[in-house]
Amino acid sequence: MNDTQRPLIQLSEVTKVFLTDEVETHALGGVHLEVGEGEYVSISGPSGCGKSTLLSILGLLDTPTGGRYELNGTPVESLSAADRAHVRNREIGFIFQAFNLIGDLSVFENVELPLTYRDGIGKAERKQRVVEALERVGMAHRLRHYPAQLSGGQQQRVAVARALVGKPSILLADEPTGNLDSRNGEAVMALLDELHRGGATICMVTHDPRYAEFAERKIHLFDGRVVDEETLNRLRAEEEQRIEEQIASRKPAAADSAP
Amino acid sequence: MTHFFADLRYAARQLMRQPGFTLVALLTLALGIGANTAMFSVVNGTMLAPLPYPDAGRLVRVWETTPEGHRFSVSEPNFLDFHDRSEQFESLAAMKDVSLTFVDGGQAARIPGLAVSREFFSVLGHSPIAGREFTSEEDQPGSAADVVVLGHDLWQRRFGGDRDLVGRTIRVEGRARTVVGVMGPDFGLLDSEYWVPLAADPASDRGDHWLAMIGRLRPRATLQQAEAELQRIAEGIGLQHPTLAGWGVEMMPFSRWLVRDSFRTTAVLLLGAVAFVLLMACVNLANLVFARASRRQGELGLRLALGAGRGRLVRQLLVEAVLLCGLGLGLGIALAYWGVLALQAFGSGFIPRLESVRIDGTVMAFAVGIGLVTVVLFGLLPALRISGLDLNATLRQGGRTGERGDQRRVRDALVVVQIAMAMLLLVGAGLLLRSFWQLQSTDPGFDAGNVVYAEIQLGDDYAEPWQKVVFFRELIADLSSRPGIASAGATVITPFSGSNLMNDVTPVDRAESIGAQGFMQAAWRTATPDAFETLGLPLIEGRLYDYTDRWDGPRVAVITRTMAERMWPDRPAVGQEFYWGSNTGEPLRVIGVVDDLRDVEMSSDVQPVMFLPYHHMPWPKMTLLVRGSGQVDSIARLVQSRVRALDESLPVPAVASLQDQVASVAAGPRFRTFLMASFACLALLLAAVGIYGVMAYNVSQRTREVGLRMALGAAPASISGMLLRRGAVLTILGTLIGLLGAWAITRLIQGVLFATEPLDPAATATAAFVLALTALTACWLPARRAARIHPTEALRHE
Repeated sequence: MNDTQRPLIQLSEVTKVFLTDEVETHALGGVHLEVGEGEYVSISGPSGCGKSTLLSILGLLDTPTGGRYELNGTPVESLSAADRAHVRNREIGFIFQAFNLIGDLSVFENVELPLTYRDGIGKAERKQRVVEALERVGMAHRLRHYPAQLSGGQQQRVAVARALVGKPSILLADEPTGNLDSRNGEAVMALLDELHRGGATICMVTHDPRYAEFAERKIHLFDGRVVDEETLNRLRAEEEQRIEEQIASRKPAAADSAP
Repeated sequence: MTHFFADLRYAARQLMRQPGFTLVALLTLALGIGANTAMFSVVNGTMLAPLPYPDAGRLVRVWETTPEGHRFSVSEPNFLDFHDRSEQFESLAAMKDVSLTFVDGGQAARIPGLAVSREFFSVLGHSPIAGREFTSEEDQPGSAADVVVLGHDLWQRRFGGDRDLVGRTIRVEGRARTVVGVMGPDFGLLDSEYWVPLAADPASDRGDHWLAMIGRLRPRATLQQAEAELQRIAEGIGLQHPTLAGWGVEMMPFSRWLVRDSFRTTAVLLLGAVAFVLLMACVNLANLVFARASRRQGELGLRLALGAGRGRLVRQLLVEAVLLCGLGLGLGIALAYWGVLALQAFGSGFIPRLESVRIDGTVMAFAVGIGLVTVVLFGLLPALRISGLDLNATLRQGGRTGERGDQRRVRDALVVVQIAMAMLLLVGAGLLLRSFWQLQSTDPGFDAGNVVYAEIQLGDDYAEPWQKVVFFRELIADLSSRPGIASAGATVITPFSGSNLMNDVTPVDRAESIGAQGFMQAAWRTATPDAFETLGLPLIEGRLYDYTDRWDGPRVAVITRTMAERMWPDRPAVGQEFYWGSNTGEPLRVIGVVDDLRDVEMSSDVQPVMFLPYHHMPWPKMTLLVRGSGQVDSIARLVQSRVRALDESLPVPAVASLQDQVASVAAGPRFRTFLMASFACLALLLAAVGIYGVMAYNVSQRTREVGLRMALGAAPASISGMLLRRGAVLTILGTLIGLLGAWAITRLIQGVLFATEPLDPAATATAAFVLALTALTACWLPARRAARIHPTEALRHE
């Protein structure tokens, strides 16, 4: 984030601990993160590093165990479920890996969904905003179709329109290309890039380094902590070294036991 | 066979692994099958099982009918005319209740029997197992033959089954009667334990309709032909005897007479109710099986991929259903067995032929039959559907499948049907409850509190009218003088005993214009003067009779308000005169009007009643009424000791509370209402389980969607509201359809309702409210759970 950008997201010392059968799993261990208005950030890291947990906390789908979280200058880490729902609806737009469109609803109804949870928006305005959102993703001609009638790429475009329709402060994308082939994946990335250039703030989780390159800032997570690229490389090298040593230490025993 | 046992073992393992599902399914099945089997045993025993008479299809019961169409018993001369002139009958017989005192073979006891005409036994197709039937001579009027045929139970109970008893004499009602025959253990009619000759007299009054007439049709004669023939004979009698002009006959099969239409309606109603309960149980189970099978699609897909044929898959699922159903059937039959025991314990008095109600081969076959239907409904159909799953799609999704729109619609439709059926049963139960309430709150018109009654029959020692009058006058005076006794009196019938005495009445000033047929029918009661005070019957107008109204003086009567209003709507009744029976002879003068009373049926309209002084019209069998302040037992002992003090040859009368007798009127409706309410509660429970199951399944299928909606900003209240709306729509739809069904069906039970309309607003509204509340609660629980789902978990849900 450069100095001129107003901080939209501010996380300080955010931790998340899961308790399962008396076993504590530290998914996030003191995360510091700031995302400025209009910024395009990618979050990447190996499986189990806490990417999805971090995104859930950013999207107010989950609450941190410790630390502070300010969204648009407002502390949100200890809001009630209803208040979190209210903030989610106004401030955050989600794009999921599996699109998560509701099969029984048409394209129009799927995109309209966030607006139906908001008071004070009339039917005509809802329609106008839905059409606008669909036009932005190039899907206005399919508004009467149902998800099952669309390709994966088209479904993800509709999901992007749904994320945009409420005019949120930030778009959170969780592996948005994970269920798409490379051609459709690139098309969706181009769409996000275009939205970013139009002023949208985007926070994207991806494990694919090619797509991470689309972001203007790359954040790496490792064992629940945010690390810079140099540290990440060092940690990776250490990890690989440890695995090789483990394999080497097992080889003689394996050879002995071979027939 | 090896595969079958493997499937059976696997099915048993599956059921044991899910004890919750197994328990709910077993209980649902057992209740459904048990209730149906128990109710069917009643229908089978009372309506389907053959009567214990050979060729019972040819047996008929015959009544005379008034010109207005009211059924009447048959007079003695008319019976003889029907008997002699008809050709469509193999045999015709008449009978009337008698109650005689048996002295030999134990303590003197009054025992019910029948006075019967000679052909009585041949009509019913039975012969004595010892001795003979009555001869023609013994059945002649004025015959001096004092003979009796004993029933098997009485013979065993009082005479130890003595085979030498036939031909010997026993003391009955103070006279020696020769036992001429003993009937077999399988013979009986109504509650009679012995039979004496009727000796119908052709010279007796044709207006005295005492006799019940039964007949056996000739082999090829039809009921219609026989009825038409007797109708022609009745018309002939009417031509010869103008007082009987316009009278006819009505006839019905014996089976319909012994099992009344009102009972048939009730039995069919209750059988329908339990059929609904079973259907609802099947729907619930089908929904449970569907839901369970949907969760097992991964496993089933894998089995298909490994080479299992679809038939094999269907068989495996079916074996599970059969195993479950077999266990449910066993439990259901056990429940039915206890149910039948309960019916036998509590149903006596209003379930006819109760001795035939049992779990026999037919009932077992029925139970197995409904078990098979149940398997098809809840096992085969889901198995066929599940076996048709898309293998590729199932494996690709690792067994995770969503619910298709058509599947959801089917499940929704099943829930709507369930709610509609529950609504029907609730409305039915509500109507019966309302009717029962109305019956309970109906005033009989007399005060039965602190009154005991005892039936006393005077024997041949009281042949002269004055002897009867003196006996009761002395007994009543004696009892009334005792401490703790407020008053005592006697009347000719015991209230609500089923007896009634009716005759034509005609105002004198209209006798000429009306003719011989009579103005209207009225009940008559001969009663002692003290009976009014003992029963607490309030005098409205005029005065009550007493012993100053001498037996050789003017004939007087006290009538009820309804009789006064119908006979003389435009003038006071006191002082008016009317004919009783035929429109000749000395008329009766009305000296007083008392308030109306109900003493025959609580559920029918108030009938016109007239009271005649007992000392004008002495009757051998009377019901003594005693109002006292003590316990029933102490008053009973007093009554029994005073009767014995007056005449120790009389049997000790049984004494009972009149209040209990009045309460017994409601026993049948109470039992019927209790059964219907139980079935309705069961239906309500099943509907609640059904809608809960569907909603819970729906929530589990929509968990991901719920998570998504939460991610998009839906508040928890909005999520539960969305899910609740679906349940509410199903509930409203089901309730409306149920209401429509109730509108169509409740008319059928109108016959068993008292002072209650078939769509009574209070009963219907209460039923709808209870159902809606239950169904919405069942919807709310899964909806609330859905609203508490963590959005991240919901989005990960598969």
